[in-house]
Amino acid sequence: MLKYFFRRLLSFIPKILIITILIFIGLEFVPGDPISYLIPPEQMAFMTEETIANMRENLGLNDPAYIRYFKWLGNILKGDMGYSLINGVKISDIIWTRLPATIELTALGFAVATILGLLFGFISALKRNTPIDYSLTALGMVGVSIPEFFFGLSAIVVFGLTFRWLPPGGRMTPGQPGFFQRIPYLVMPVLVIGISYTATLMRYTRGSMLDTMNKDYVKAARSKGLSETRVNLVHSFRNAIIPVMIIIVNRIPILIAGTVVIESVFNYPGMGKLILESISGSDMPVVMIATFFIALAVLIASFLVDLLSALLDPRIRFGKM
Amino acid sequence: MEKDYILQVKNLETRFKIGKKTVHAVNDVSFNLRRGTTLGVVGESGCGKSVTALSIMQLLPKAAHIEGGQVLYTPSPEQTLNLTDFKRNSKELRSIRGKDIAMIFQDSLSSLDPVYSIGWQIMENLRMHEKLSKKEAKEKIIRMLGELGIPSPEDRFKSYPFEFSGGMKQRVMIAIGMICNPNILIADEPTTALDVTIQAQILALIKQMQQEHGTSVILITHNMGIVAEICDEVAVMYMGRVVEFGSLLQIFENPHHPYTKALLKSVPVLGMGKDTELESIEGTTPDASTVFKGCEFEPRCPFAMKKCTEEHPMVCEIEEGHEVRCWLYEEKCKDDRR
Amino acid sequence: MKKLVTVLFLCSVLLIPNLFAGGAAEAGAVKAAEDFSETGTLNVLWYAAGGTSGSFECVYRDYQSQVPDLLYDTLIKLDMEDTSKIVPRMADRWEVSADGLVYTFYIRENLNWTDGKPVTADDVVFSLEAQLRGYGIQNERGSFQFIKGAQEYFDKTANSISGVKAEGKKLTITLTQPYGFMMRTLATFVPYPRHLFPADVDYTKFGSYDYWKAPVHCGPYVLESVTFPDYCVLVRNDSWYGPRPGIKRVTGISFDAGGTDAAVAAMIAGRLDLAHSNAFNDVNIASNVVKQNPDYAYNAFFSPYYRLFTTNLTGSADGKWNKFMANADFRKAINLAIDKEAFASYFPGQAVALSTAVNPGDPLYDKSIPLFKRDVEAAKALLKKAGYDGSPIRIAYYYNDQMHNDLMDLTVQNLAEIGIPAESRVVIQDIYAAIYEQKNWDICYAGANQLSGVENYGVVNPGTIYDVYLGNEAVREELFGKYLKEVSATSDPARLKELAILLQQNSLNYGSPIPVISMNKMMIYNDAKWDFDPAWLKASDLAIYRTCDLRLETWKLNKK
Repeated sequence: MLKYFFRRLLSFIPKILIITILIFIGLEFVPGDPISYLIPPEQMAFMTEETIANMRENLGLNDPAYIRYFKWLGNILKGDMGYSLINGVKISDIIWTRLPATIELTALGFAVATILGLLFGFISALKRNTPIDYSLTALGMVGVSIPEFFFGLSAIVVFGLTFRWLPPGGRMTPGQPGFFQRIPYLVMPVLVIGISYTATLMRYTRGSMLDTMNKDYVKAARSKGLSETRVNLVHSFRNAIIPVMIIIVNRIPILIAGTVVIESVFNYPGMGKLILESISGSDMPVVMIATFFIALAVLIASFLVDLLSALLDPRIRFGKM
Repeated sequence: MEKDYILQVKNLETRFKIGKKTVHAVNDVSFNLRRGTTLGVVGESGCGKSVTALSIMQLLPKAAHIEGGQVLYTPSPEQTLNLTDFKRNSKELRSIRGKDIAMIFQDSLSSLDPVYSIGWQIMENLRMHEKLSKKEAKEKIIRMLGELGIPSPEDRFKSYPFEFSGGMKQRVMIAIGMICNPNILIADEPTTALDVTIQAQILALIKQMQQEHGTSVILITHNMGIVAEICDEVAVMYMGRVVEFGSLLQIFENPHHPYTKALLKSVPVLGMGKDTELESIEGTTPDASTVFKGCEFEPRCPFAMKKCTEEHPMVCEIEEGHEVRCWLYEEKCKDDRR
Repeated sequence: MKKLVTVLFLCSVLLIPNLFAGGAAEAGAVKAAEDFSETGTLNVLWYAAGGTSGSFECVYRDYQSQVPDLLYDTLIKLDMEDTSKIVPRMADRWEVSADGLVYTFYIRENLNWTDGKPVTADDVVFSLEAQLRGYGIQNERGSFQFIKGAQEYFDKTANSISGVKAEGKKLTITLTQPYGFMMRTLATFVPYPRHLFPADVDYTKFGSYDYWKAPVHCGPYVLESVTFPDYCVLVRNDSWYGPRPGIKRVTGISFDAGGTDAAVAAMIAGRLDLAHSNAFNDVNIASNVVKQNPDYAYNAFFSPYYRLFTTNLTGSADGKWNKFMANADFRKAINLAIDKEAFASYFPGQAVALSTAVNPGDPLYDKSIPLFKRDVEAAKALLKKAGYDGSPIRIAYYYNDQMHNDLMDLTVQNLAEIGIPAESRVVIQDIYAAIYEQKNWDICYAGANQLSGVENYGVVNPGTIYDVYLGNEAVREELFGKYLKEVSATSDPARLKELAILLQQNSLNYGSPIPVISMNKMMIYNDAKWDFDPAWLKASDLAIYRTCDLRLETWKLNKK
């Protein structure tokens, strides 16, 4: 187990390096001169060539790409993430205001979607070929096939604007930053961000459950005189979630990437929205760091779920696989 | 006489609903299990012997249901329970499962839950039915594992199924079955998945357990050799019906039903002459959903008569405890039990 | 037991919203009798233009919301109904020398920063230095170059601005030439406390100092709490010297770039009471809000910003410059051929097609000049007069969106109608090199501030884009320069108007620049909840944009 843990941990380093290189290359191809975003069109008139040249030099925009990459990487390792091109604020400051919001959203979204997905899949399998199963399957199809931002916008229109039960966006009411006070703001984004995840998980859980419910060990468990609840939960479900864990790991990046759209739809000030804002402002340093953090979050989350599935499956835990 | 039977299966009917089709998996099956003896249920694959076994404890899949008949369980002379009266997974039935009647399945490889240690799985059965402290339970389990010939049982207690060989797993299965000291052990093809030397060991173990604990055993198998080795009584099944039922001697020395005769000729038996050739049964087993007006074996039967196609044969008791379901012995019937 | 747990759980889930609702209703009932301005909250937009709000750095760089204006104070403000009238603020008195070169301000005796330290003239000096050497682009910088020694300080050939002197509460600013917009400039200029920045402050990283996370200020409101990037809460500064603001509590709700839709949703849901920002500079957005929430109203302010085609009169690096650009008739033909109404139609009720750089709603507009009308025949006649030979022109444009792509296609068509083959391309990559060095274009679509005649006619900043389109210096001096010198020096409104008219006529005759549309700005506000001095709605954009006294004492909240 420990060996497994460290092997997985070591594989982080090349992954992170590759991610940084990919991010950097990708951003090199983004059209737009960052300097042009520093100056609103109305104020172009004040700029002299000299000023612009100075700005360019100060911001290090004249170096070749690979030098800028290594400079950037070196600074990150030193803990200096640089400054936003748009407003000169320390990127670390921006990240620390945004990261908790996204962690909260994705962690809650992940938890809710996982619980709902497993629960619905479980129920669907137990009640297979009944109206409950059919309606859950139909809902699942809808959840997988319609993009989340559509659900987000619909939810805003219905619950935020028409009935006004929930705030249509944002993260908190001014002056009420407590977690429980923020719950109304979290309801819609948390539910919406996990819709397709829930649906996918539900379908896989249902299939996996149907598979394990026919397994001999479930019959054997039943022959011990165990209650149906125990047979279904402790034996069928417990085995059914092992293959589902792979789906969970694979879907985490999609869930986290969903924050870019969902946070923008709900004006939820997290990392996803930060990335979108910075891209539109051509604020390359911020985009790079934010993407880097998102990638890191994906890696860590996948790693944690990997560990969890190892704990669930003794065959991995004891190095058989 | 009746009280001597610990389990009586009477006219059991089990049906499968697959889509719109109904499959008559078990038809009018009756047999008796004498206290402390071993009953062999033999037949080809798909003849309904496993479904019969599962019907006893109602461990049938959801698509199957018991349509008629009785399963009378007599744990003590004063008490007789009809298990078919209980709802599937009812509390009453569950208290009998694992405690009074235990079951060992064909494929030990897939019958153990891969995610729990074997100790845990045995413990689950034990603590379900007996109020024991964890420590006491563990001691009892380790003793049982030792009895079953599992080396260093204390260490193996925490091992997972994937760390065991096939034979060892089947021993664990027997441990699960026997840990509550059940009255009846139903072993469904317990040795099919194992190689021959291990087969003998497992059979010996079952025999040993039976002798030590006085358990009555129903052994389901397609292997006449195994039947000859450990059974006291035999029920031969074909297409969901018991075609012949009798003591080991009656069946082997004096088989009556053409199917039993053919079956015995098709398998090697100890003491068989060197020159005797094994014969195969002509034709193939019909599809399970086929509905017959007459005898199911008629299409393959060398002695088939006109009557066989028209009417189901009745059961004839041709001698004490020896029953045959065949028109050939109509006139020999001691009493009509149709 | 299991059932009990389930029931309890369900009950608690059902109760949660009730708890919140119940609490709110009770609190509302108790406070109903009180003055809502004292208990309620005005929610204003707190917009981080073009970036992300991680600090109050936006105060320094550029801001478009009321939040910084409520927290910070300026030396003086202008009166919103008569901008020639000056309202005392941090400085309670001032003197301007007869030659208009020396300004002396006396900062209020008891004026303190919110950390208790007194506000001194030196803080203003510090802020001027930051403005001149800072990394950001400031409206004020151009104006501050009239201050003696500002250029040397900017060029780093001097360590201080020689024209600025601080003695305790007394501040003296000496100019190199009279400048009529000085007071207006100072009305927007926000001083910061020097003592909260390190002695060796690096102005190129001015926005990254920790100061901006919890800024100390001296305005009519104080910062009660802030959570980046969500909101800030401002409470009336009871020790402020000015008239007592009517509303006790104002919150700024943060919307970043791209948060327009979210802010619109917040307004429809009644959670945002005032939005005034470039992001809402679209009448369609405003009317949508009002349609969906009738509590709201919007007002289109006159705005000094306008869109124009600048003209390249000096040739391009690649030699493909169209020589006819030097011909005024050719330029005037282009002016008449462009369908400016089509440009304006994208902003119904908000944009006006222009014939001069000045908005027809502006008192400075030359009423003798007819409103713009497209005239293909007249354009053709002008081309003939210019002896045009059919050589193509190239259009560059700055705004990269579908609307502008369409408008530029339309312009190409318009020009083709009068026989000028044209091509258009968006300039994203390094627009400044494209405009200053290569100049591989003939006309360029951009934006400018008409309000600053100085900016508009390019006298103050040699080397800027206006150098390019105004051609050689002699022409510039003759047509614009001498008037502009007077514009920047005079503060007499009548003379200013005369000069503005002269400049408009000369520009029209010269055919450069080519004005297209002026854009009014939108203010969307919760009319049912918020009251303010109605002069606001009559006053120009200036009232909101930092220059004028907002008359906070007239602000009131009505309970809905």
